[in-house]
This record gives sequence, structure tokens and C-alpha cells, in this order.
Amino acid sequence: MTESRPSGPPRPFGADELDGVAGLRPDELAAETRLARQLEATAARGTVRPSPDFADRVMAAVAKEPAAAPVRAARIALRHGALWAFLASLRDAWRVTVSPSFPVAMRAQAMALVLVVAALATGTGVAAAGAIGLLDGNRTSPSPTPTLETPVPSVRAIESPSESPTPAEPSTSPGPSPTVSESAEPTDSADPSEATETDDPADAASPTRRPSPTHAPSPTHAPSASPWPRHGGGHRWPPTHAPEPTQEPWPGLTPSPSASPD
Amino acid sequence: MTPPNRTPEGTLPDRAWTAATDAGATVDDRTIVDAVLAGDRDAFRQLVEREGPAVISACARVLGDRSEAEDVAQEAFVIAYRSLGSWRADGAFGAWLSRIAVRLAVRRAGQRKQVTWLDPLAAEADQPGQDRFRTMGTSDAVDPAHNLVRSERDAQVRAAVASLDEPYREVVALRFFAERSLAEIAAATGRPLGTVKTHLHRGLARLRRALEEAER
Repeated sequence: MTESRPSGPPRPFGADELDGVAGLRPDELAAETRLARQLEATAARGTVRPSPDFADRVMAAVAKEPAAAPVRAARIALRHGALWAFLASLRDAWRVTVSPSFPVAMRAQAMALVLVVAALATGTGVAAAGAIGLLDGNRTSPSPTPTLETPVPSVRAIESPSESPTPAEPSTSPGPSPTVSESAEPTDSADPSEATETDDPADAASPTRRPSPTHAPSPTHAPSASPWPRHGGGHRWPPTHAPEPTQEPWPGLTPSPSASPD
Repeated sequence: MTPPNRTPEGTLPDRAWTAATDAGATVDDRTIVDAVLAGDRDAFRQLVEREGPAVISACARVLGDRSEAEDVAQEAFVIAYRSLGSWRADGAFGAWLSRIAVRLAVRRAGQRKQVTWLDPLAAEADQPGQDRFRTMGTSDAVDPAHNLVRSERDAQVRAAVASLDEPYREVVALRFFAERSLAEIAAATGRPLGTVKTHLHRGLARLRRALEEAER
């Protein structure tokens, strides 16, 4: 019964098709038969063949659609252990759920699948997070002691250069200060030439050149920055020398690099 | 009716329909639909190729326009694909599909703002080289006057069918434009056969009156 009839010759209307209709007079049956012949003639003249690419166009349109029965596809994918197919069917189920063009029954089934999978995923995620949190809690209990020790020196190191006279460096002091804090050795970082790299060249060029001949930065830079002994500043400076503001050769220029040298 | 290659779970093994087709066996609608529902999208092509001509013709008989009929037929196939899970195998798939297509075609015809009384199908058939278009009774096509009268008459019949009320319009269109038997119509619509016969009789009576009024 389910075998579909291909497009063959049309079946002509027969008067027996209306057998059993109550109140049908013979003249009415004859008139309706004539009208049926007219309808058949009209239908025969309106028979068209599909264009050659009709099936391709339909299949292209169908390819954009989600799976016709994502729940059944998901069940089959699970049965065969095909994870990718299951994820694809899950995606199709979501598309069916949010698309109003699908029948309500199919959307309800797809929504149920999405909700079940979401609930399972959420439960699994919460359980995993709980397990990880439990393990992490056991692991973090001894850890606070070392972690708290490390910030203490770093804060001190940052504070000490800030108290030191800033004069030597107008602009580079913020950058190198964290790294410098480990040792207080004077280096070239205090050299005014570095200040010219960060500041606006038009303004900083002239003030940075002035200190260079005096070599003044060496005492002032000792506490503030650059512990690196790259340039042979081999002798350590005691931190007590650093805060001496009197050695500042040009105290008025340091706060404002933009100030004109002369 | 249970296809022989169905699994106990009610689903088909992958590509079962393809194997059956390659072996030259006749594959019924239920087998193909089950394959599509199981995720084999390509199985739907067989339904498209088998039912496409009838569906396009049914749409063209309602609309009178070939390209528009193909658009509506394509839309009908997509809707059928979406609703494939709701198809009951107690009737022919083609009748179920034709019902969708005829509904869409009638709706499309109702959305037209003006009625074209010239018959595009006949004009297309008279053009040389239109081998895709098959006409019956082409001997009449040589007389332009007769062809024009016939085209106007066909357009009147289409308009009269489209103006019928439901369910008479559906039964008449499925019977004469989709060329479905009354038993198929009864199965597709879920109505008793006697009801379908009554609807056909009343639909033809109303159609006859409408055409008589149009001729006056």
C-alpha cells in the first residue's frame, strides 16, 4: 500500500467513484462527469517535467535543514558509539527546538533531548568541580605560608626606592624599579640616556644630556634602581648613601623633565 | 506492512536503502523514510526524484506557472522533510506530499494580487525547443485562436478551483490536479472514504456553478 505511484498516465474519472453518495441524481452525475473530463484536460495540458537540476536544488535546500529526527539519530549514534554523530544530532536537536517551522511534537522531542543532555552535562560538571575543589582544598592548605612570604620583600623593595630621591631619573624610575629591588647596585639604568628613550624626545633630550658629564647619577641611583652590574659598577653602594639629596646635581629638573635646561 | 530489512528496533541499518536500490529491488516509502529519519539524508533524493514530476505538475496545474510551480514544489519537499517524523505509513507518501504541495500552491495562488488570464503553460509549450515541457493533445496547438480559447478556459478552471471552499478545494485539486485516487485522498487526509466522495461531489457541483457564472 505504501508503494507510491510514479507519475504515469492519469486515471480518468469514473462515475463509479461517486457511488454511494446520497442524493446524487443521474443528471448531476452526468454533468459532473463532463466537468471531470474538462478538469482532466486542463490537468493534462498543465503537465510539466521538472528541470534537470530540480533534485539537486531540493537536496541543497534539505542539506541546510537539521536532521529530520534528531532524537532517533542521537539514539542510533549512541548505540554505535559515534560521538561526532551524537554531537551533530544534538546540534540538530537544538536547531529543531528553536525553529518554529518544525512540528510541535518534533520540537518537544528535540527539546527533551537537549534538556536531558544539558542536565547530564551540568551534573557531571558540578560533580567534577566538586571533586577538583576537594582535591584543591587539600592541596592549598599548606601552601599559604610560602606564598605569603614572597610578597613581603617585594613590597619593601618597591617602597625603598620610592623613598629614595627620585631626582636622578625623571621618567625611567617606574619601569625598572621592580626588577631593581633585589639588589641595590648602581647600574647604567640610571643613566640619563635611558630617560630619553621613554620620554618625549623633543622635551627630554636637553635635560638628559646635562647630567651626563657630571656623572652625578651614581650616588643617587644606587638605591633607586638597576642592580645589574653590567657596566662594571662592581662596588656595592650601601643603601644609606642613596637617600642623600644633597648629591643631587640638578634638583630642580628632575620633577619636571619638560623644564628647559637653561 | 513491515519492510523486510528493518531492524527490530524499528530503524534501518545504514544505507540499507542504497543497497536495496543497487540490487534493483523496489524500495517502498517506509524504508526510505526510515533511512532518512535514521540520519541518511541522501535517501531523501530518491523520494525527490520519484515524486518530483507529479508534485511539480500538481503545483503547475494550480498555479499555471512553471517556475513558480517548481519553487512551491521545492518548498513542499522541504516541509515534508521537516515533518517526515509525523508521516503515518498508512497511506502513500506521494499523496501526503501532494497534499502539502497543493495547499502551498493554493496559498500561493491566493497571494497573487492580480489574475493572469493568459496561460503561461500553453505559451511555454508553443515555443520551439521546450522539450522539458510535455503536452497532451498538441495537435490543437497549431491553431492560435483555438489555443487562446483553450488557455483562457484552463485559466478559468484553475481560478474556479482555487476559489472553492475547503475541504472541497482540497479534494478536487488532489483528485484532478494531483491525480490521486479517492482512497489515497482519504488516507492522506484521514477522512472516511464516503466523506471524501461527498466532498468531491459537492466540490464538483460548486465548481460547475462557478464556471457557469463565469461564462455569463
